[in-house]
Amino acid sequence: MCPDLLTIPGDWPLSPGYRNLVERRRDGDLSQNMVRFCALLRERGLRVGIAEAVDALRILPHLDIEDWREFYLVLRTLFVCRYEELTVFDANFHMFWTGWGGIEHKSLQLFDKPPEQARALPNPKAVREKQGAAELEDGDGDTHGDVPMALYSPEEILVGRLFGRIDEDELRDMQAGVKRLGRWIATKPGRRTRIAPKGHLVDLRRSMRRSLGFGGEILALARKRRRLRRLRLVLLLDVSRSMDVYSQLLLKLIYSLHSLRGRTESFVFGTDLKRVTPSFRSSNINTALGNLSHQVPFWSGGTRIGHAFRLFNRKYSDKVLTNRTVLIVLSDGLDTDASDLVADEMALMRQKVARLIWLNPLADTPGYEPLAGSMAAALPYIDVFTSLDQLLLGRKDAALRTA
Amino acid sequence: MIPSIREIEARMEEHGYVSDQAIATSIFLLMELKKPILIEGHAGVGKTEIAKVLAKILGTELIRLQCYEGLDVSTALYEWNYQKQVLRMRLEDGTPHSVEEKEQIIFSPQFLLKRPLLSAITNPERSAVLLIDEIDRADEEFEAFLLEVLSDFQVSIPELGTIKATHIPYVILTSNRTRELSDALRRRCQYLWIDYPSFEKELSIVEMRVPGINPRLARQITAFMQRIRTKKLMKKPGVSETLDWAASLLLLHRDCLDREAVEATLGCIFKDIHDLQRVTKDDFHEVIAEVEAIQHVP
Repeated sequence: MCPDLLTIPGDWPLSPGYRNLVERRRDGDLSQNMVRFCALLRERGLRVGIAEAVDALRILPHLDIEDWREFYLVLRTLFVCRYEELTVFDANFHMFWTGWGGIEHKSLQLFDKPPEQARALPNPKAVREKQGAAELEDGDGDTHGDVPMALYSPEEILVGRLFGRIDEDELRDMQAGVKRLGRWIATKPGRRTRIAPKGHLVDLRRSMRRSLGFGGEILALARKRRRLRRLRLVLLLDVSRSMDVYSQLLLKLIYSLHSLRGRTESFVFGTDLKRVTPSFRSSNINTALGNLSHQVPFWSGGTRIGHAFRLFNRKYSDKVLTNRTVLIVLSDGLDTDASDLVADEMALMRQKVARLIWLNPLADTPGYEPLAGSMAAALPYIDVFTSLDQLLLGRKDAALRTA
Repeated sequence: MIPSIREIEARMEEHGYVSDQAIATSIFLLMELKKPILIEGHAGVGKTEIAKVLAKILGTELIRLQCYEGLDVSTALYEWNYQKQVLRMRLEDGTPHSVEEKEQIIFSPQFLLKRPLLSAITNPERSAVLLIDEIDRADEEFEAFLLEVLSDFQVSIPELGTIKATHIPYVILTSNRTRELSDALRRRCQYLWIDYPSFEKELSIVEMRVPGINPRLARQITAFMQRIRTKKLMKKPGVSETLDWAASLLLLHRDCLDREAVEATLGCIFKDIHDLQRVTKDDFHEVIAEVEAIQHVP
């Protein structure tokens, strides 16, 4: 079909294994080229196995051999299995089958969409790929540049100045409160059921089966109840300077939430974002704080909520946010970022989680209205907007102001 | 005989679906390899519609399984018909059947309620089209179970034994990307991404699906939608909104778009209070002005 298709430029970085494969044989056999193409795609991170290659070869005889777009679409449909892979596939398809940078493919107009439409996708991964590494570096540069931020502090100073030592009794109170809280924010009745002698639902299937022994007379109903589904918690905690006064409370909260059953992931943010889940695995809270102070250089610095949320969405949201996740943001919503960015990133998060709770320490302040920049921008995406105190008191009906 | 990709595209248009080569290619591969299609894309771009059109083209039944959180096997696969079983047990009173025989009777196929998955694989005569809608809404456990059904096309029922597929159905899955699907499921499927249509494609969809619409109005509606999708919105309107809107305007006997007509029918396009507010406040004026300027192109 395409005798000299295997033209791969020398400067294109490939692993030694693949280079061998390419160099050992360069002939025009279609099935061999297909196998090589699959190997190339695997190299580029697509999950293309033998089965897909076999499918492609089986289907080729049925195609209009003159129609390049048809050939392209068939391979694309078979080899790509997620949106993010489309661009990778396109680039490699052209490199492999038409020669890198060849004029030939430009006249073909294979692509379906102009780039700006692709950028509008609600998926952080796609956005990440489109915007490229350059911008990411840019963002990081900003973080360390003009925005004021705290530098690394030795453990003693940080723990001494900000956190103090956590009192074990107070912690116990907090844990009790959080346990109560966990019961209603982090679980919900599922649709599945389990056998329970005193359950409130009738298990018809088992009742029928039991009745057989009594000649079809249903003497006792078998019962079942709904399984309680445990939701996963993800915490995003603002540790900027404006939140300093709450830091003790905040740390007790994270620690208590981590001691709940089920999985909890925590992240702290300020001008940057950091996953701190491992620090809280320790059984003693003061050890946990020690770990933490080594890890978070931006503690008590400035705030860039939008930027931090974007980092979160790019790096973690696909892994930790699911439709059984409750996302808790603890922040006063005061920052220096453009509020547009916050709105965009909040929208992405909201799509993925079961419930989004924003705890704002200012929410208790008389006369406070969430009208400022980022807070106002985030508000439409929040399910529950309240303060921690009210949440801990467990007055869910009266205290919760739903956004 | 399986039609070529071009034929499929044409056949889809005959049935009122404005297709493109990528969609037709997926359907072609589905027919040829029986490899399920996983369709992703924004809400309202016509993902579900593909399955309906495919069923029409093949002249076969469309069986739909709508996924939701907590969807379980008894809703997706099968359930015993308990009322009927109880009745039968009553009738069996006084007959000389032993307990085992009675059990055989009431756990026989006539007491089985087939849910979508089971009816899809046991469809008599020919392969059905099985639409598994919004798979991302179902639990991960259900996804794993589905994978098992999709790979073997057989189902085990403890009381009856294994039921094998009479005809392997054409499976179409749709997802709105609210949750990452497992790699195993993705690998079992071919992937199809549907984007918002281009101006030309959307215009021909409007003209095809809303017959009798004024050509200028159709152009205006399409232009309006294309522009409004570039704005920042909570819920971007899809093609289905375009069609709803066009049909409503037709009902109101409008032959062109002006501010009054748009404001009266905003509810067709925007399904979110924040979008409504945002649009009435800011960006709205220029879009209307641009759209009003569109004249009929013969």
